[in-house]
Amino acid sequence: MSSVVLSDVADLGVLQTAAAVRSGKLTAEEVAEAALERIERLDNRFNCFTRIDGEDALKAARKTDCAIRRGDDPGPLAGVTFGAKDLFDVAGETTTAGARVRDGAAPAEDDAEAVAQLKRGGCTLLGAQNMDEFAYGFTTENAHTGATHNPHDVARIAGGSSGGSAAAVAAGLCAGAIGSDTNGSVRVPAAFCGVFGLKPTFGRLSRHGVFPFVHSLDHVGCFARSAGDLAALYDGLQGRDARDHAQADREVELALPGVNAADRKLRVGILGGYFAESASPEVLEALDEVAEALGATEEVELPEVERARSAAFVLSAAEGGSLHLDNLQRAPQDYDHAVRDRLIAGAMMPAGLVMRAQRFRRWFRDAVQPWFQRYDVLLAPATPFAAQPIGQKTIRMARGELSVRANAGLYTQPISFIGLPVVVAPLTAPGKLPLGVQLIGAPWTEARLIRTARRLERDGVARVRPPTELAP
Amino acid sequence: MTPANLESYAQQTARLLEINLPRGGAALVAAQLEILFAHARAFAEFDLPPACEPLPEYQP
Repeated sequence: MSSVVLSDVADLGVLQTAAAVRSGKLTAEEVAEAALERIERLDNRFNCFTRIDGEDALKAARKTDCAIRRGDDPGPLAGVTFGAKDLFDVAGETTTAGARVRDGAAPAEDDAEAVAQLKRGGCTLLGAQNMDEFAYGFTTENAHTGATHNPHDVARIAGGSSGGSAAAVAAGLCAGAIGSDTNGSVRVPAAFCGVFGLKPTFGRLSRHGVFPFVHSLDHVGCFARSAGDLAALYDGLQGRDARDHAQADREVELALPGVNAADRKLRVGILGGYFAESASPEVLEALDEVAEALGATEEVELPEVERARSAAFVLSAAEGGSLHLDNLQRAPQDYDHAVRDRLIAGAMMPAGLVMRAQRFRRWFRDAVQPWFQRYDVLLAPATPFAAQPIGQKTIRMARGELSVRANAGLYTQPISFIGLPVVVAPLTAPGKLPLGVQLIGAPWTEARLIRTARRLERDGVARVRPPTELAP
Repeated sequence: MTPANLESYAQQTARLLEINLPRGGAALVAAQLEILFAHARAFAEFDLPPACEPLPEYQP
């Protein structure tokens, strides 16, 4: 494997692209053409995209260019290319959610709010991206659409369930991407593919037009190749949308304007106990590197984390099973059997246990909240291990031989269970597989977390490297 | 529950839910149920205060 230096227009990030297009140095059409050419040339290696909206992308880009020629404001993200996990509605297209059982479903009438917001900001949508079937998994090994291959080693998984989105950003097929995170589906692939990922506070971003997995836990998130790019995308996704009943009534709190500001006396704790028990040595080294860079020395042991993860596990299966009951009755054979069996088992969980999981969630939230009076940021590994080979079902961990598909989210699941915001800072080094560290904050502190990621980036700790698999 | 009991639970509950399990499907679902019930035990045995209600509209 040999490294290549990314050098063409498609290598530009979110902020670089927007600046070039807004200033007239590049047209949005040139940017879209470059991205589409790269997808055409490279995506047969990675399988990031399940649908490429080439004509629509070029049409949208030309519209942006026309606006600029007219002297209109094309939006802060003018010409920025992005992809959307194939569970975001795109008007006129069928939202597959990575599932055969959705074949023949009616095309969406409107764009999902997240897609619409980025388009309104001037972005160019390139297409739909691969995922685990119905977002139920951490590997993006989809029985119907195939596995997404990790750009840092195509023999390995990209992580999931938003694997196509993370891998596409890592491979430079788009400047940014949007995904969803119920139990870790942004954070796990961000770590495995070595890109920045954001799972905001539960209720921050609109989920309208996003095919659900677990209503109680679903979040919209995003991926980018720099902390500044992540801030720009996140800002573009913010805004009140009454159509998502779970969305909180919060003002927009922009992250980009202060992304380079220094947080004096940032108080950072390191999550120990559960979060260290099953981690591989290289994961713990990565965590140490981040902790040292942020001056963190104190270890924090949150109470009952393992039970929280278990409650999230049961809640996901039960709500997911309930959501899919009609299709499980009608066409169980159309599901990937690994997903089908989990959903059916989830549908069979007694209501008393599901309610108990919801009650436990309240208890856990109340038990964790006080720690944020003492710390601004808590650190934890994003995953217990680096990306595993495609097709590998299990991995030897401290607790025994465990399923990769179910356990890559061991460290993400307890955090999303109580809706805390998280930024994944990627740690990449030549000859090594990427890893990620979760920067976890109190509710609504996304901007501070992105600033912290930017600080790590500035200090050379967090970084995105060109994937070794991009050699021609 | 034993594996046989779980398989029986899977078969009976599938009938109640009107899901046609394929041949051998009950055993596969039972394997998943075993994992889920193990997780459920982990939090169900925790002594929650009676006042700890589920949040109807979860807010972090």
